[in-house]
Amino acid sequence: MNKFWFLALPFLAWLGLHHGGNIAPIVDNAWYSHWITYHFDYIARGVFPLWDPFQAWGWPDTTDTRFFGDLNPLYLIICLLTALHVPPFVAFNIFLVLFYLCGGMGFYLFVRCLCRRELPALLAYAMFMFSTLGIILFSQLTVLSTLIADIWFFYFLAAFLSSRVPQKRYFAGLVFSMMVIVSTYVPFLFLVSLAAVIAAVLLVRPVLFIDIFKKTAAFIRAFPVMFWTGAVAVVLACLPGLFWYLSIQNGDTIYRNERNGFGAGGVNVSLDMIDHSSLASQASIGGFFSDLDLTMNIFCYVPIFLIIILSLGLFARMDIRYRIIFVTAFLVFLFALGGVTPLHAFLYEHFFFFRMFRNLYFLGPFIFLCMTAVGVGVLQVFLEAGPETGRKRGWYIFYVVLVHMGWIIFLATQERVIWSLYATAIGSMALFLFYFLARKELLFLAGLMFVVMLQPGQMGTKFWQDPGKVNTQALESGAFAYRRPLRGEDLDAERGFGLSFKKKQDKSGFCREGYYGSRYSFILHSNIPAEELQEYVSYKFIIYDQAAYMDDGHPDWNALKGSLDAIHGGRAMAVSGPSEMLKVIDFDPDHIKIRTNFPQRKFLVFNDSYYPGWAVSVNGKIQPLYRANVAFKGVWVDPGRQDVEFRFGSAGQYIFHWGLIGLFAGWLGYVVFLFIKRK
Amino acid sequence: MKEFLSKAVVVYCAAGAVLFGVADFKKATVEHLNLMSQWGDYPALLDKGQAAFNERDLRMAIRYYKLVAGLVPRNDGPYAMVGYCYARLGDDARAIRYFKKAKLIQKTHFWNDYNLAVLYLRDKDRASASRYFHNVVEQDFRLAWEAAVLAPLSRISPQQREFLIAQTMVFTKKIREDSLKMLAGLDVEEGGVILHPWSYYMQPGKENYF
Repeated sequence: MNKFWFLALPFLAWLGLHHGGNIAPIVDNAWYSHWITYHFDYIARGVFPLWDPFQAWGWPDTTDTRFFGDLNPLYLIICLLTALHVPPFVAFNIFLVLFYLCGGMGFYLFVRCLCRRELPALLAYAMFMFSTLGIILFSQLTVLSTLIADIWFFYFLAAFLSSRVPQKRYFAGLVFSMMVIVSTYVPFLFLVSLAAVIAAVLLVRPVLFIDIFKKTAAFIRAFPVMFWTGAVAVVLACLPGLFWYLSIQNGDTIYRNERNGFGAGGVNVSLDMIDHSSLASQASIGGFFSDLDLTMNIFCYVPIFLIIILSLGLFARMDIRYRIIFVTAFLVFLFALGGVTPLHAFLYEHFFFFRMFRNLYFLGPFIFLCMTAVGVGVLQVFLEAGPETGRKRGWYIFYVVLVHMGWIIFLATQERVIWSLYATAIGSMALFLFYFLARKELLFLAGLMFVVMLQPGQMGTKFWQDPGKVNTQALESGAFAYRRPLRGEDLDAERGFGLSFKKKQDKSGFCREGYYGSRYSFILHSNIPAEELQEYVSYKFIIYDQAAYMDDGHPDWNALKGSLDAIHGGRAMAVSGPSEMLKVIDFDPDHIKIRTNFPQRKFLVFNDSYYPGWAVSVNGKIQPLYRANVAFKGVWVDPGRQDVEFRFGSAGQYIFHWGLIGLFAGWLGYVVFLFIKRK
Repeated sequence: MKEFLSKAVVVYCAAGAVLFGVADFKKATVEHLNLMSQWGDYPALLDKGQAAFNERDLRMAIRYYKLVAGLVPRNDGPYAMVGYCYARLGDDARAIRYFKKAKLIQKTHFWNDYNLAVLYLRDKDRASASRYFHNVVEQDFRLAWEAAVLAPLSRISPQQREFLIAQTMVFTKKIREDSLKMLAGLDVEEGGVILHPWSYYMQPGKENYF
């Protein structure tokens, strides 16, 4: 069997389906595409963006990056492409496609490792490529960024446990996938999945743990240096997330759950809010069959082909591996239903970890993949049990017809069923009959791959044609033309769900309802109306003749209002553009350098949030940095020509972050090297 | 026994039993509805239905209104709109079914009753038409007059229109003077008077008859 073509053709077909039209980032990817291209544009220029000066008057740039897991070295493809003058958004889309292919390959290897057969593995690969994930890729990268790493993790784990002697390459792969997972915003999904696997093993075959411990111990004995190096690498990969969490916990960064509706996140989410984001809220049984061409249903759909193969395998033997996967999927399903079952409420009440995450429906794709693995597994058993001749073969043919006709009749009883569901069922029946009558496996597999494409093909085509769903503004506004992506340029359009970040801002440019920001910006914004701040914060620099101390314990807000209004009273001067007195001579997100030439000593206020980690130097000498007007940065500047530089982050932080990028890329290179060496 | 227990169907049944034992499916439905209304999909569907209706894509409008009907089952509006679209498509049997569903929720509604009366009239079931038209007149006899005058728009014959007018007269116990004038005006200046209610009902949101 020419495996290459069976892997390449579905990918190319998927590419044709999704990239034949005007593909633009949709739903949350409208933000992520800008964040990612912005982030890696600076990485390519040798600057690690630690500070985001464009939102909420400036705050640390460590929250948004966690949504997509910026340390995954595959993102460096974007840097490479932009260095080759590929437009940033095109580079981003190319990355998405390659990332998706990477996920499909991981799933293929995982299923092949389980069943040790090509046919089910290739079928599972096609089912992955043509699934709900193909849309999620363009709408919710945050799900896929974790899920694809999860797939590889479970593949390496399965391969590690099934190899007779300890294998370095599988362990290295395990370490790398764990590093990627812990660097994302939602390792939560992984941890829930892993906990479910552990629970499933305990329920189905607890003695397996002894085997796991034995294999791990054997590996540590054989490769102790590698084991501990890997452990240290995973711990290092955890640190950015830990620092981020601590900055929220100690109050330097505000990321709070103040809002009642959509968009509320933070570190402590209410049970009601989680229930609203559970799998139960997203999907309904009727939605599996009806109105599938209405794009609102496309996030969580179960393809009819999966239902058919699960039905065909009803009376097949489900061996221990598939039972573990099925129980895992079932436990995750019970959990993802939120308040519909008592499981989530129990965990929420007893473990703080479960109070931190809201979108339980993100677990839907994991359940889908588990059920796909189970489906192709039991199908393989069903096919292998079918005899080539004799009376028993007649029974198999009868059963195939019965199952398919049963589903076709069921579909006929449903309202508003799209044609591809019938086509899939009829095509599938014809192919299974062909298999039992002719036994031509290659043609059978090719036919199945085509049948798998039908439903997602119809749904995907309809989806990308829906002007209400696909944000073509990016295309129309020239975002695909080459230019540097800037922060705060997120697509400014009403989306299918919620609002863009620009629309979330109030008149002062701060996030409406104070959803996020730095501690002191948040305090100022909470005490002075946005309308009164609007003019003041529209200037980045204010030059004061004098400054006075204000007690934080007893803030005089009226005096502060006077200070903010000083530009009208002649006591301060707002800088509205470059002049001989002040001009910006260098800038990146983490620092700004200005040249001043004041006639007398002045107090310069830089209207960017005050935050621990900022320092100021004048002519290269560190000067005291004051917190000015409650939320901003201020420094005394002497008369005459002075070079003032504000900088965020220490040398240690830079070395740490660049070191992590090197560590991730290096470890990936090492995994690839080990696999190539083995061949 | 061990072989039997390892069958996929047994594993699925066990999972199903657990699910049915612990899950509160009513809550699942509530959560689904919450999400639809919270994230704006319910109004979005209504908008889509209205947009399809405005573009005269009545079959698509029916699909959206049916979805809305599923989401807000205690609201008669979506059912009435489905019935209305079917009536415009000439599928009177289905239209009657959906108007009746709307009436199960909202017992008295002028246009639901009126449309049912016209549908039965088109079906030559004068007894049923008369029953529903009685409700119409009881709710707003003046509007009933105007609607009866406009009945030609509902693709009914002149005889059927006369029947509606006659029914209005039968059911109206106290026809006011202005209504009589209006009727008189109809006879004298048919074109002018017809234009008046026509323009009135063609205002946005007033297109309640077919």
